Amino acid sequence: MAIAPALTGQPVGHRERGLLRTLISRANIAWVIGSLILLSAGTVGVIIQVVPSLRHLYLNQDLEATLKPPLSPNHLLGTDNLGRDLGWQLIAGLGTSLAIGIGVALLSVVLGLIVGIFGGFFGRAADAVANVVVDVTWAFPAILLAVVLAGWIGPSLTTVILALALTNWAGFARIVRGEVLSLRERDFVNAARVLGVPKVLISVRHLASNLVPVTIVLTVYFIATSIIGEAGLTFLGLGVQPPMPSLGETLSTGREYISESWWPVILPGVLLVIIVLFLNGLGDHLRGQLDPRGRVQRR
Amino acid sequence: MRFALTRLGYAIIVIFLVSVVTFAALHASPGSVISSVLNVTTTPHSVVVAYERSHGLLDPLPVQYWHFISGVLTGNLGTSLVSNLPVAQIVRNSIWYTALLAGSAFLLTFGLGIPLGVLAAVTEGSWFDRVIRTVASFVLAIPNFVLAIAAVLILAVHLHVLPAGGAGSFSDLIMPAVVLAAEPWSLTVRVMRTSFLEHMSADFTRTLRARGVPEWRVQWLHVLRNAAGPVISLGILQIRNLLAYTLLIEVIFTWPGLGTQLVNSVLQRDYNVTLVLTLLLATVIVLAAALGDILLSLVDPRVRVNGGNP
Repeated sequence: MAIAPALTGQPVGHRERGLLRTLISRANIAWVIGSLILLSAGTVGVIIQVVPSLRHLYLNQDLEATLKPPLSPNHLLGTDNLGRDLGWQLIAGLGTSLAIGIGVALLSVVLGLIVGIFGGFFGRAADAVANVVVDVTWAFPAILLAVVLAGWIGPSLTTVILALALTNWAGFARIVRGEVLSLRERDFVNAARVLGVPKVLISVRHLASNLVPVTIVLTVYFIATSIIGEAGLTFLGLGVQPPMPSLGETLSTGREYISESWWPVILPGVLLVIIVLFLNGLGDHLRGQLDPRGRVQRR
Repeated sequence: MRFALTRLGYAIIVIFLVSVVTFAALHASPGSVISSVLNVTTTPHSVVVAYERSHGLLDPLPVQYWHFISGVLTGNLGTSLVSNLPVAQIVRNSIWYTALLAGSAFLLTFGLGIPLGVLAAVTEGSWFDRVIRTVASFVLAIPNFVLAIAAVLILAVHLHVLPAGGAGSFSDLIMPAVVLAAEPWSLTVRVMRTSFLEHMSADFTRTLRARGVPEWRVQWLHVLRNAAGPVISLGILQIRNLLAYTLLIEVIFTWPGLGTQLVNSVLQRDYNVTLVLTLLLATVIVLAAALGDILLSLVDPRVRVNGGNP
């Protein structure tokens, strides 16, 4: 089976070392550690929401200790308007926001791959349909779609995830389509078609697998934009509803007490900026390694 | 010309589909419209049915859509379910505020972004260049609603130099407009600077210099004109972002524009207002994209070949 390697269409640059080995290498060690810290903090944030006996950490109210400044006894980062510990609020909120970010990124990436490959590989009619769908989607910025969804199913966690996922994918679908247009002319794709491999199978085995590096880079950017998006939508009252914590929820509750204390808005804001800076940096770094031709634009 | 007509025709098809999707979504939830007007559980069933019949809510969805869209096309936008005001009047009352805010931000973005980008490029490597680039990257890293809150906290709550919200005087406009312009401004500065530097070392620039054209003419007439292309494309993209972010910024600064109206209408389940305002904003975005493509095709004929799809 000497012909096999030429037909598999493995991503060319990573064939020798494997994609995972490339990502978790010594050169990336700082980014790997940073990602692990972020993921563990997020996991802790999700666990304290899911396990009932831990919920008191961020939900316990103390009406005699409202709006305590940071570095107060028992409350390292202070308390909010109900006397809840702001540090635990932020960790729980980070869990929600990160989960939303990852969920939205995965949904957008899958949708973008499907529509992009459909448009690029399944003929002219499919391409026309895919283009119209992308252009209709383009008419709705996330906020506008969130408005429509909130009118349909009410403001909720689902509204946020759908609003962000159903708007993000369109840009990715355009990138995928462009990539597929050049991939479909490659020998391994033609060979597979001549051998009678079904188009759907070629799409998964040869097209999608070659788009993995680009997809990883975009997933990271999507997580960053979705975390900002969640905060913005929740801030407008269209997203996550209290008492569920999220960075946007903490921020919007804190804003109501902005004339009395700065920490309930500044702390989530600073945390948001740090996470987004980290994720954008990670995305830029990965792009340097996985996408040397610069197919993905920083958003 | 043919490209322009095709592109506009396509935009109209997209707008039609957008209106169908929005209408279907807002009318799909069972009893949604009626439950925002009447308390369905306590009102007698006959009253509910009578209301639904008199407002055409029992008709099949396509018929309801037809009533709505023919109303829109003849200038009848319906009435608000909450305040009973004509929707057209609500739009008239708020659209100028949004236009004023978005327009000011647009002017700030390009009025300050293009000259500062050029100055940074001309003085490449100087302290001025470094300051501009640092400020631009810094601003780009902060989500605009966080910037808005920080601005309110510092300038309104603590320093009392600017009002925290409202729309009574010019000073009310300053903070929202600057915050809204911050992100597109930093993008404009970066793109303008990069594009300008590229063209400063282009062949035609060297030829002009060799012919003895004064340096200020080379830079401000020839290089600037050639370097403007990417900035124009960016500006067209930014119209969509500006409109989307206007909604957010308006709510934060209680600016009485379309965004505040839209968010209030959703939270009060005022479907008629939500529908019209959503369609209005989506239409502007689609038309702006179409006009942008047409504008680019005039500047760069290559756009016409692949139908504006890069």
